[in-house]
Amino acid sequence: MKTKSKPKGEKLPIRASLPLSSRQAGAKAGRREFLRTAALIGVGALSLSVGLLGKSKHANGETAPPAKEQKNQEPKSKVQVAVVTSDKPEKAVVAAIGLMGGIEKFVKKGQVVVIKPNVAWEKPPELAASTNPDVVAAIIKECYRAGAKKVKVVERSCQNGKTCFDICGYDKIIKETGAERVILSEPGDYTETEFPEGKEIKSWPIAKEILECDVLINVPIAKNHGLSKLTLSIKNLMGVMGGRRSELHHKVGQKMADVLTRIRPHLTIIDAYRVLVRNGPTGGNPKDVVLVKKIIASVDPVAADAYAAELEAFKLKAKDIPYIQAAYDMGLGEMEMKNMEILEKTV
Amino acid sequence: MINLRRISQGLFLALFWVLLLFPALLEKVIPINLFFISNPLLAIATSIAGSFFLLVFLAAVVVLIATIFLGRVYCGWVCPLGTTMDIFGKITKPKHKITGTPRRGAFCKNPGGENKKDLMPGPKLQLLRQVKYYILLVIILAAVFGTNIAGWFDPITIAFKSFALSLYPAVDWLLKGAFGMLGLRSLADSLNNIGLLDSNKVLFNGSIIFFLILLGILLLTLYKSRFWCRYLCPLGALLAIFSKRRLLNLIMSKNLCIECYRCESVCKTGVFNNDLSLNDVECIQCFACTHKCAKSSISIKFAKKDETERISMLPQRRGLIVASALSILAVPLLKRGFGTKKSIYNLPRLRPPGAVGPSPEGKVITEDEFLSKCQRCGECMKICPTNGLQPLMIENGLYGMFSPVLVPRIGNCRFYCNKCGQVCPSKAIPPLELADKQEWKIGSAFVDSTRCIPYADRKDCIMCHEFCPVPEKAIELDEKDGLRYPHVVKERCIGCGLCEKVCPVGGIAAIRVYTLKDGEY
Repeated sequence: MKTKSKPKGEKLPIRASLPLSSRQAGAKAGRREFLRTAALIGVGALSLSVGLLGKSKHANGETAPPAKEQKNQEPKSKVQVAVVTSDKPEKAVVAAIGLMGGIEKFVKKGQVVVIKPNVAWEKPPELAASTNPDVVAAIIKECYRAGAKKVKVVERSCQNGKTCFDICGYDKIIKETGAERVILSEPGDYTETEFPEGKEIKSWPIAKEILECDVLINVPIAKNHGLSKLTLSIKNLMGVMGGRRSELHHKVGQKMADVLTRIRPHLTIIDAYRVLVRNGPTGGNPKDVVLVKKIIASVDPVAADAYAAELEAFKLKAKDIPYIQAAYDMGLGEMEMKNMEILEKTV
Repeated sequence: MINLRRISQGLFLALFWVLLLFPALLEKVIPINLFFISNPLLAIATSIAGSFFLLVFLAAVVVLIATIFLGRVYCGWVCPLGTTMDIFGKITKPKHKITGTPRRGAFCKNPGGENKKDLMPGPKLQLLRQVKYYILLVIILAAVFGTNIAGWFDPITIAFKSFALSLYPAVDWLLKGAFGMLGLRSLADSLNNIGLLDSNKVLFNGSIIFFLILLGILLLTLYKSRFWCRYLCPLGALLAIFSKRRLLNLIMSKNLCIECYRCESVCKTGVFNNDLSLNDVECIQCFACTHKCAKSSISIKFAKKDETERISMLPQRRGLIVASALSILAVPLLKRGFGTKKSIYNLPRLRPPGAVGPSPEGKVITEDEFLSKCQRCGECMKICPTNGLQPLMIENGLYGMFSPVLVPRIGNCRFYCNKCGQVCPSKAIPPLELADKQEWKIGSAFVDSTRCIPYADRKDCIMCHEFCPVPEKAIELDEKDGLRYPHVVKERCIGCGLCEKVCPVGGIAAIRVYTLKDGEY
């Protein structure tokens, strides 16, 4: 099976760059492209300096050098992070998307949108172990408004997927909004995918739905986690991975950053309306839930995560979170607050 | 009447299946364990063995009272196992073709097309009818000594376990496999949504045993229709005793009878002997004989018994005394191996939440108390959403056979579920409120540091900690040299077994749930 899927994986261009470049062809700034270039240069330079020549072939081999020449002249602009505070999470999410340029910037008519919430645990939504279903419902509605052909809610739950979707309140909102529920459960749901830039992960089965969709919107909840301190958008990508996920826990920071090299959501919306500050990721004690009432959105998952990590409720720094630091080190995004442009709003 | 009886049988069998397949459908209308709480044998044995009485057993009392007046209508009109046997008989046996004009003395002609032997039940087969009374005696006597073994022989539990724990998972597995091969996963999903296919892989320990029991009972009907009911069924025996002085009687007008023996050939339980005497208490009021009688000489009606000779094969006193002595002797053997408390079988097992341990009233429920109430019906195992409740075979000795045990490697006790207590007919698993269930200590987990990944492989894992569903996590991580080592906080652990289930170590998990010693909860 591996031999069959391998050449396919190699042929695929780096996933995220395709829709991004096409989407941004008409848009003003190629920030994503720039960041990617910077990342590749960084990786290349790093590996050269360390003497790991094998690693630099990706930087040299693919589209990186021409991209570098084109985009290098553009002035380095700050990464935009939208932060909306509201009593109504569904309102906040619409406002946050608006601050990021509106849903039309991300979703074009006829596209297939995958929303990846965190529906991992059999706990009711009030306990903040899963993404607030109202937030996801609002995003689904926005996507359909922008003309999406199909909106799929994709998740590989840790516990029984059907029970999770039921208890977490997702079955209800999926029925109401007309989205499609995709519970990843069988090995056939995944394709073995290469991670040429990965340091710890070279190849891992990734959900076909994620690889085949037009737009990927990552909608994690910000909450405490025993291993990585917090689970945010990058950690949330674990829910699209097949195989034995327990193995990901060793060196989880680097491994999740590796995943981000290939699976790069087009939009990250972090649900920090209710956050779980202790006993994560499952929680269960209402006392551990803090009302922060914020929705954080950005096209840069690292920046969104970094902002969420430094929320008051958590009493943490972005560099404490292993995957944020690892992703920053790989040049996959911004984690320094000073390099971010925070678009704040209260609705 | 015969059609009415068939409709009743069909409806009750359908109800049995609906309750089994769609437990949520009639939730508010009919108790899911209706067939168990209305079962006099289980009610009597459990009440005696557990020395308690439950209000729900009044349903069983209703059945007993009905039997006193109407006879064994339960066997003929209700019992799902009996109906299954009838259907099996219909399928396997060629249709009776009764041709020609019946005439007096026709029994030699054998109009039913049956084996001639069938018309003349020998004395041995008549004696075999006593077996069911002996089985009943053993069950009642064992119950007097606190041992509840009714569930091994009761037809309803046999039917339920065979259907729910063996046939249903097998069909489910086959269907899912077939859908998978045909690429019809969405069809399987939609069937799943209406509750037809299970979303998990449901498999039960020793399910082939339950299948073989049902198969055996069905195959025996090829030899004699309703073989089980005639010779073995203890519930039938109980109802037979109660039906002795019933009002709804089988009346034969001998002057009309032309001895065509059609009645004998259609009778399901062999009521008619060829000397025209009747095995009176065997009658299950199925109305087959009145329907088939050539001269309408047989009727079932509210009337006094006529002068027809009526035989009841109730055991004689000598037999009863010997059987009692033997079964009393068997009780300690059954319960305690060879009387030693430390038999290899007395390993403590994880029982469903609420079954064993200290109750909220402060009383500690022992394993023995639980087993004296447990009817071995399988309801809890069928309803368990994780498939973690499994029937014990003889791992804990014969006494624990078919009782439920939590096997965390197969499935944990779900934190947001208290269904087993809701469906248990005898409240051996008490109907705990969800909040109480979430605090009930089934056992406690222990980390096995010789196998646990951070200890043995020097790698981070934290799966047990991550999954621990207790609000205040019962598994804590000690950070040492950049690795996280789990340990269990015994006071907070409820023994749900989720950690043991998800432990990525192959074979025996590196974190396991054990029961605690009495008083150590």
